[in-house]
Amino acid sequence: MKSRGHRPLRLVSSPTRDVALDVERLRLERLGTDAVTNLPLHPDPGVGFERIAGLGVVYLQLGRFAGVESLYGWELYDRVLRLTASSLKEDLEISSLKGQHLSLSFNGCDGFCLLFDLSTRPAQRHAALLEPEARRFRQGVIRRLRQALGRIAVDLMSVYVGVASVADDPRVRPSRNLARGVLEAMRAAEALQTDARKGRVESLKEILSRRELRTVWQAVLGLSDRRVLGYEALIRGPVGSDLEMPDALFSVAREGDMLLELENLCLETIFAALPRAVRSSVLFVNASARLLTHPVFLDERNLSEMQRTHGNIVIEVSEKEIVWNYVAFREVLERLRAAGFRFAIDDAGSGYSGLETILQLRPEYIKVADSIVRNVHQDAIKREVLSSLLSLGRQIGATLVAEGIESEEELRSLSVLGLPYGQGFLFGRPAARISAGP
Amino acid sequence: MTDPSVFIVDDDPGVIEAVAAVLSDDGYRVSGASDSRSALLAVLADPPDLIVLDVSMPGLNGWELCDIVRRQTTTRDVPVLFLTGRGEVRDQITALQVGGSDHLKKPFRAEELRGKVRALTQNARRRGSP
Repeated sequence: MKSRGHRPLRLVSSPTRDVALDVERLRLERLGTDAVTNLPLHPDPGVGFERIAGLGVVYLQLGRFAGVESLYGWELYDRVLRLTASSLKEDLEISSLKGQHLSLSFNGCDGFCLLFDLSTRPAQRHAALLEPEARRFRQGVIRRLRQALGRIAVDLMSVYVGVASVADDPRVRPSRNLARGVLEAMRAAEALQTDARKGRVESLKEILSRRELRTVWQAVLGLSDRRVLGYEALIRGPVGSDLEMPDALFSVAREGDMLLELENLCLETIFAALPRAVRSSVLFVNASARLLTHPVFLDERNLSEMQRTHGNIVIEVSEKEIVWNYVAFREVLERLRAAGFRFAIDDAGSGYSGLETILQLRPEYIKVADSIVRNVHQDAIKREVLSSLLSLGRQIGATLVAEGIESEEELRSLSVLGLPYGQGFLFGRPAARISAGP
Repeated sequence: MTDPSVFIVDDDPGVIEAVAAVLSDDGYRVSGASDSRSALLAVLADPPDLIVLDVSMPGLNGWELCDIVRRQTTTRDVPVLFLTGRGEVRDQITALQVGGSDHLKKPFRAEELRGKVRALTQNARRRGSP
């Protein structure tokens, strides 16, 4: 734009009482509505104080999806919530209970609540009316999430529905009657979730006792010359099972309190069969702070055994974990460094810790979270985050690796920024065997 | 086509003036407010093409302001450039979560401000045109 000479700055006057009141109103609105789904945060039939003779409640709970947020980050979970809300709205349009629908609300975390006015239907029929509709809502949500999110969603999928109906009783305040109905439907959904959890924990126990894990390898490459720097070892469960992907394995292990057992078996599996290509390059392995601080892991024989098997190991620790185990972790880190291991901070930039933490731990590698890499070419703030991490890396002599590169546009943007290394589906899927070229 | 309008919000009037000086020279129509609550109402009443927004402000901070702006249909798509002394990754993530479009750390260079403002106002135009 050409210079057109100085223009006057128009300043808005100072606040009045009206301004303060209007802003308070906007703030209150904000408190009542969820920013992501745009749904009200409270179930309200929206009928004033009119009494509803028969109120039907359908409660849909995104079981373990709350865990998705800490695994994949808030952006993916935002998408899950938006998809769920729009799926419910679409299915409401074609529902046999459409005419009876009163409201749809969200609890702000993982639960959606649908209210229906069933006053015109006989009370003994309420359950029979609500249950098939609830099942349809659930199937709709699962179908759309699968379509949009694919495999990751399938593995962690668990959507549960519960229903309840409450009859009006003049002795009981309608607001409490409503709250009881919502609670009852929610508990019904939770009961199903608990049963499912027990089943999942059982299947993990079986996998561990049969040692049914395997390793796949993902190359870490130079972004300019595509030369292989090393390989990250990734763990898979039985092919085609619900527990094939590591996130599913680990989230179930957390539920069943079997994290250490799982991690031990992961390491044994990785070191049991190192492909030739891996033996001659850097080996990236993931470990939790919990494992690294465990005496069995820190045992001299264990450490030297690992060093004998592969002399160039980089242990990846997620940024999420370090925050909570900071002091103890630093000591362990020094011990492991003395034993010959190097470190990478995994998931950097996912927002759990500040740069300060990374600065203190002085890792040799900083692996940038894929949530930052995703569509980095379209997002100035993400590039800003990357620049901060790059300058931090320069300060402490750490090498940056971008994780989860999926598109040429992302790759170009990362190269322009000066990221030296990266990995991701763009360069090939993680595989059990390593072919000659990347 | 009229020149793009930019609304600057910062509790330090000196910053408003500094930003305004750079942008008005480039032909933008600039207005501003040092009180974030008045700023919010002004922006909702007459949506600009871009909001330049400080984070730390008394009464209503920049993140809250941005979040409210994103929820209103008339201002949902107005790009927001955060201009702040807070440079932590954590703060940048918060800017993303409340719907910010870009981020510029204080003290800023005029060239950097120009570049970011140009990119954001042009993107908005492109989106707006059929």
